[in-house]
Amino acid sequence: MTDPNTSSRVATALHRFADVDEDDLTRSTTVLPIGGGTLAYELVPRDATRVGLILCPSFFELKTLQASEIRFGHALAKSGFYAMYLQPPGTGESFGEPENVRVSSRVSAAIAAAEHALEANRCERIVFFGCRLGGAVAVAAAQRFEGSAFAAWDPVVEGATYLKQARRLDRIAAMAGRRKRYETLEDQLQERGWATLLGNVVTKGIYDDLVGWTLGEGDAVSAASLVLCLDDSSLAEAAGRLAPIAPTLTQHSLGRRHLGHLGFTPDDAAASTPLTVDWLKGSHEA
Amino acid sequence: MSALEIPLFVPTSAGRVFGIVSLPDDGSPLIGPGVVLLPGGRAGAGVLPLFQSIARRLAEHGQPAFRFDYPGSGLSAGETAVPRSQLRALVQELCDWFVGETGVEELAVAGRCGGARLALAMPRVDARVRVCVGAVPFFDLGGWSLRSKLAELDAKGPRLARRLIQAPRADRPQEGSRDRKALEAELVEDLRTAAAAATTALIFGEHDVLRTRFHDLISAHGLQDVEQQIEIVVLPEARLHGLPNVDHERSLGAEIEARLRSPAVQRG
Repeated sequence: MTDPNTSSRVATALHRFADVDEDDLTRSTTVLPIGGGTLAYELVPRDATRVGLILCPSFFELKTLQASEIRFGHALAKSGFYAMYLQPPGTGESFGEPENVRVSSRVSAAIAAAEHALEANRCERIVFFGCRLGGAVAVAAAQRFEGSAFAAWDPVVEGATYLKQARRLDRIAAMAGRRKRYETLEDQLQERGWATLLGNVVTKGIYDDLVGWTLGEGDAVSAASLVLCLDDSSLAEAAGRLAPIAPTLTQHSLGRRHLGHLGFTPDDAAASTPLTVDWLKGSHEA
Repeated sequence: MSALEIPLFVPTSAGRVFGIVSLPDDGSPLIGPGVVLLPGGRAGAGVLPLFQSIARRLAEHGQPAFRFDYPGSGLSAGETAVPRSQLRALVQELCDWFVGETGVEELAVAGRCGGARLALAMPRVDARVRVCVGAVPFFDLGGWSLRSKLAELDAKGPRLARRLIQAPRADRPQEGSRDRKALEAELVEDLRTAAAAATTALIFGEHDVLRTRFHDLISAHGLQDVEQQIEIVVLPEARLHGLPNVDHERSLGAEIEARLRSPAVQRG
């Protein structure tokens, strides 16, 4: 059963499959030295603009929003913007324990990914992008990364609010799935030390981190930024928090009925994509 | 020794498939069988953490492992899923690629849920498969479909179910419903071949309805000889749809891993 092939020889040969050229853009995948190893998926247009986007993934909506986030990355790249979708340590295919994921570790990973993109000459300026709590990560990263901007879809800037909305959605999913017994997050944590929420593991550490996390008002983001929400009232709420941070903030509402407990759907993402691409072209490409 | 992971795109007839090959990071010779991990449903492999830890631990002991996102999911190409009837050929194509790149001569395949059903089919289509592990296998014998479930839920709350599942349905190819007899006959043949040609194990949850379905199938077709050749493992809390649960996932992972591990490593 023993094969003479060595892992080093095979690994060297396999690297030729890391990049694919298709549709005037290069898709590239790599493990970045962030944390124990962070999976990054890069979309590099043939004639790229100077602006690149770091896509900060959603939290508990991984199953429902990941496809939309990646589709958004493809739309960006087809419009000439470099995009990098990353899976922070402890999430997706990256190394690290899911139990150790924190909001701050997601922000740090986004910043490290931006540094990598600049060092690799993929782009000259960075826009951090995220949806829901990923939007808050994008804002927090932009606050710490000089010269960068953010684009946030339906951001939730308080960890406790986000947790409340995710729990509501989980409860509805339990009712729809006729789950016979529904334990609250607190009961699960009390009994077992961990809980599940929308298919994700929530430990006491993750719970405490979310409950205690709020977007800081510290550093300003001077570059033109965007907040896009489903309806006017959530836009007013989000803009109230983000405008003091980003004086050059474009605000946009999709004018849809917002069901906060159901989150941001693929339909919402499809409607938001061209608006965001147009905003990037108008605000950053020039 | 620890694991080196190489993310890559495999060119296939269904477009580029995103996958990760796990290898030992010390340059040591690879030990067979090579491991192919088949996720359940159509979710990207990264959604559930179960297979990552299995692949990494096996690689740490010298066995190469390969996991991937099905076309239309995760980072693989395509907006729509590959029809189920074409999945076996696609997996065989991916197995060919994996064998060609790593030089392993034999394969061990493991899957979960729908991936487990696919794993059970592999000994019939690929003679290199020597080990076959099905974790909480989903035996689709008709009479159940997401579409009918959605219709049922929609009747209770308009559009609620559709919004909850949030999957674009209109552009997903719908296969003609195959009759129960054909599905059952296929499963029986797959079980016979897997039992005869590979070291096969099935892992069920204690209260899993599919465990009952499996035993009904054995009785109905007089497959007691086949049942004796298959190792049946019963875990108290194993679940079909794997809402990740730290303890259950770890115990399920340990059971799968133990059966995939190379005899050479177990002896060593």
